[in-house]
Amino acid sequence: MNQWKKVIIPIVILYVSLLVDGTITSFMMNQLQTSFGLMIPRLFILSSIILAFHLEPRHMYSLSLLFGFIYDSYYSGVLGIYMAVLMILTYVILHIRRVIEPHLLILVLLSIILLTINEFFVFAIYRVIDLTAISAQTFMAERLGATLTFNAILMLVLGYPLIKAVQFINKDEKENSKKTQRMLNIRK
Amino acid sequence: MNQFFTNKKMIILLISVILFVSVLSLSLRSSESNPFLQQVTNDVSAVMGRAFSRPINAVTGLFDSVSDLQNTYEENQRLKVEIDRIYERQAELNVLRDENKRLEEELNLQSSLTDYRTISGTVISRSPDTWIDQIIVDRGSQDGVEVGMPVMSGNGLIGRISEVNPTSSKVVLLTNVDQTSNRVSSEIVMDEVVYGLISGYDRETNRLIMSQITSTTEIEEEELVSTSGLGGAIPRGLVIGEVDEVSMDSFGLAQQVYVTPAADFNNIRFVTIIHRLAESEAD
Repeated sequence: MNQWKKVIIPIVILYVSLLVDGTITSFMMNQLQTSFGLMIPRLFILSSIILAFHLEPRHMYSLSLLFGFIYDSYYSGVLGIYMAVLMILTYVILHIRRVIEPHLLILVLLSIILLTINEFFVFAIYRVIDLTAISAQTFMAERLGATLTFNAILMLVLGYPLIKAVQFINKDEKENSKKTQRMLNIRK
Repeated sequence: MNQFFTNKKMIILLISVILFVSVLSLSLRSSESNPFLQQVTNDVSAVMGRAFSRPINAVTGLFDSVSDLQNTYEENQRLKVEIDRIYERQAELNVLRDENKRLEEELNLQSSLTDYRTISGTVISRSPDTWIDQIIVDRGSQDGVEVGMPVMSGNGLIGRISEVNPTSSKVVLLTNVDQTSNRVSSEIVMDEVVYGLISGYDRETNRLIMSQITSTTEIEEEELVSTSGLGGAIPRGLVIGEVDEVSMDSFGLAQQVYVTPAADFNNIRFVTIIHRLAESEAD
């Protein structure tokens, strides 16, 4: 039961957020184009940031590889970009999480930094393979600012339920480990 | 040197960079069909994506019909006037169609560039990071969709099919910054036919740019721009938009036309995929 939950919940969270990203873009394109730039919904990246704080390194690496592939294949058809960027983000978070406790406000601030890395990486790759022609200044003015604002707010609103959902995975495990500890004690 | 290679992290980094670049370049190579794994992934995601787009479509459809109901009276008045004109036009059309048919028989024409079949579909999703502006549609190779087919939405051309999976496919929009994929040969039919190429998109003013116009005829504003059917799989006579502004290109040699698109690129919910009946030379 426990093992089952541990596998299913991260997959469901990542998959749903991946699909919701696309649905938001297709139905709310008018609203996403604001006077201060184009907002890109990054719910998928946000939920993988939260997941990376709570899962085991190996599990998280394989998840980011799998879902990076799905994201690339489903949305753009140019493989590798999100696979790479998710691996980088996972690597960074796995280092950070030794020092930082994942509270909501800290996660909001952290997500701004990590999303900046994400956006710049994706932009750089598209620039290198010549699928976009805009300059770095235009990119920062027209996309980065609006995207960061939008996603920081998104994190503020959806962060708490997401954190709760992810903590739910590890909750039973802790109890179980206590239980087994107790059992061992009794045997002794 | 020795220490460099014993460094495990360095080797892992190098291998992953090599893998990244090779996967990227392999997927950029344009081929007719995707690898099997990618097709399965895309189709499964498209099926799941429908679970999200269906309810939203239903709700927006409900709101649309309510707002339609509000201005029914005015619309009715306007349409009554329109109908009178349509009768005249219908009679004229019938005569022309009959004449066209007889002429075609005389010339032994099998199928002309204007004949096409349509496949209608619903939009499931859209690429969030609009670097490659693509929408995902719920029709695939099982419904007869092929790479390169033009796609209409509402009353104008929006793009062409870029990737086909068994039950879903991707449409590259004309708004794409990618300079290689959004060239559509177009024409403006006035007293003389003016040919050109839709080759860019001005995001700030939301206009398409038609360039490489060889004709020196003066183009007037509000003329209809449509596809010319020359080259590729696009039939003749699909509406793209109307002329908004005529200027000279950056070299000052040829005319350049800014076209207001007939389709709304920000609100695409239903699409019509066009299958031209006349085979192109390449097939």
